[in-house]
Amino acid sequence: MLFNSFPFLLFLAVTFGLFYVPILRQWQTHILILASLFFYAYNQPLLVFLLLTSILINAGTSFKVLSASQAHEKKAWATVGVVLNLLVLFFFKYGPLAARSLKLDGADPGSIGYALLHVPLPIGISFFTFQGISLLVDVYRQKENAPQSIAHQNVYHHFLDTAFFKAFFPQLVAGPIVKAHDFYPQIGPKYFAAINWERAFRAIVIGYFLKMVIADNLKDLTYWIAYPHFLEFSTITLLAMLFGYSMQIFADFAGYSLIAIGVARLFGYELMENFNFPYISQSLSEFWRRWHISLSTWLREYLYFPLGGNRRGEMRTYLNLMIVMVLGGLWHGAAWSYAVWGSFHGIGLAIERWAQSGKAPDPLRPPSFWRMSWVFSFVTLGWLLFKLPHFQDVISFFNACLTNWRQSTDTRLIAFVGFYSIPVIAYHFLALRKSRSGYSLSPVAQQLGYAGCLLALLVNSGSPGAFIYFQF
Amino acid sequence: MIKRSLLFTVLLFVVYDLCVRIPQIRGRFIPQSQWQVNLVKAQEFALQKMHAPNIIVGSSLSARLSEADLGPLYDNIGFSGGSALTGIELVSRNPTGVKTVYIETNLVSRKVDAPVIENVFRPVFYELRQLLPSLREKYQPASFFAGKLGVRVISTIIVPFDRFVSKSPLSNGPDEELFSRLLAEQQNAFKAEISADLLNSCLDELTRQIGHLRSIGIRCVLVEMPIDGSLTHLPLAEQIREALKQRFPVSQYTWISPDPMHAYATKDGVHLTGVEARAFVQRIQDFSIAGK
Repeated sequence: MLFNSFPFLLFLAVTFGLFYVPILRQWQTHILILASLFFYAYNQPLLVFLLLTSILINAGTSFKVLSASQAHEKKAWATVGVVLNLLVLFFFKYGPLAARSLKLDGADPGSIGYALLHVPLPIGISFFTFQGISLLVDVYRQKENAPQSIAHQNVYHHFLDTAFFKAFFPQLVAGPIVKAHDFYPQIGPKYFAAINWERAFRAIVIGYFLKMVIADNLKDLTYWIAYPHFLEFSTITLLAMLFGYSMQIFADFAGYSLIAIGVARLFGYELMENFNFPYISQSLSEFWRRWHISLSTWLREYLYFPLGGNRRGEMRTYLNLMIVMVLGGLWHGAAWSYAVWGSFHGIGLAIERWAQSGKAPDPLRPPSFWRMSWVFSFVTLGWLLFKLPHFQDVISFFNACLTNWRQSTDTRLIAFVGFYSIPVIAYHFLALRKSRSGYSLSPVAQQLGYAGCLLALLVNSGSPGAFIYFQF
Repeated sequence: MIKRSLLFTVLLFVVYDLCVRIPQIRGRFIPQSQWQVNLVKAQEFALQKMHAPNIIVGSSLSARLSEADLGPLYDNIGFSGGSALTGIELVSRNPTGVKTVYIETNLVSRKVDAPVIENVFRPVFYELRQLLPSLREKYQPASFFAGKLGVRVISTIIVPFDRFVSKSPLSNGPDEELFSRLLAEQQNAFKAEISADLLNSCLDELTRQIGHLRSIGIRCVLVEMPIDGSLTHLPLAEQIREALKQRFPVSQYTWISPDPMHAYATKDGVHLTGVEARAFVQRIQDFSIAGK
């Protein structure tokens, strides 16, 4: 069920209404669980059983970790849970890649290769699997972390909380990836009077604007970054489309995250911020602190640090960076081009770290347009691997950029790409000014801004498209 | 904050709707993309109270037939990237004034564009668009602000640059190397037949739609758009042609086919050049006049 669809608005209204009926307050968690399962089943009815299976695995193994008395038992159950999560993820997401890589493409029906090639890809599996792993690790680490309990001692309540944590519909299919130690303490009765309407309104309006006005319109312009269509366009047009795609992917993903955050606020739950104006980053490491924050912090907390982080020498640090980035790339999609994308960023981060070694960071360093441009250009080149999953198409695209100087430029396409990029650029510029000088728009200007967003939603929305990150 | 934002939204909407009604402003909207062109065509057709007597439906192949060349007695709702079935669906839902539908058959294996139909006939919005032109796809603010003004600004910078890097003066003439590459791509695509199930389901739908149009007194003419000679007898073209001739035999249905004695020039193997498109328009008009 897409956020930008009438069925979703109806679903949200009904769920919201039921959630805040006073006599149903003790059933709030149950209402959200049932609503979330309905949300997930709406487009993929059979695959809701996969979600339920994942919930059972994580609830069961995490409860075993919690109730085990011996340290080695806790570790064993945590390991079982993590392995089961990864097996489910591998089978459903990476099975086809494994089959193709092992040359099982032409396998006979009934064979394992055929089954692997035709496994359906459940929406959101990457997200809720990572959440499950987060739960297991957080429960296992409870003794080391703050003593607040993140899991019920009662098996029924623990199962309910786990089902809610994993299935909560605003973040179920495309994040933000919620961590157990952030979410569990929030579970409890919620009251209508406690809703922060203004914060919910801001997030929802900007989220829908970014998605429906910016991303959905840009997608019709960047559609031509597809083989063989891009062969016909001039170099400047191709570069403009690539720039537009960079704006589009930000607007699409950040928009979805903001909608999820805003909707969650309507139910009294706070999800973590997922994008912090990433295109004003002045280094790649800063970019990864601002882009898909829930994923980058998850990878840091549950993969990079357990590998040793930067505490086992320089060479091991670079290796850990590469492992994390390659696996992070593969998380995005079951194709080798995503591993290449991850490697691309890993190499960039490693080189940046090497270049910075021995130099203390200067928090007062003024922003540099050139540093921002370099980071933006590097990141934008990487997005090409998202848009063109076949590596030979990426090569063809670069070849077209180098050879199509003499094609006439599509000025109309460039004008519209530029127009739809302006709000994204302005959004980042305002954030930069605020961070440096504390400047923020006056209340009237803000209200006019939100009014402009709402007007644009009404009269300038693009043709509906699925969220890019749904494929992950 | 929320109330004031909503109030400002209403005020801005009223102002925008009033502006869109001014003729001098209405003429300055430029479509943004191929899909918007399609959606605008579909919406405007659906909202018209009376149509031209002759309607052309199809894909980008028939969309090449310019309405300026066709004249006021024709409406062309061929959709780039789209399907004849989408056009027929639009005519079925609003057939007022239509006497003849010319149906492009080349890409008959494309299904109805359901999102377009859903957008055009969405309840409440369909009725509101008739009262409030600002809700129409044609009058999106971006089409105005980035339209003529934006294009003019970009052209001021880009056109001199294009002239500087080109070996020859800018023109819309064919680039031979590019044409060869694109034709090779089409030859590759035409080598493989499509799924028989898909083709049959589309033909079933086409048969049903033609039957419906005939039942309400609309004549249907099937049109095979000309393509490059090197593609005409490749497996895909042959498969579609054979299936169509079996389903809609010449003895029972009216056909317009390309002139077998003429080698049609195309931009990329499938889309006619401007000159050839005008010549094919003449062929359709001659057919219409002859009253066959």
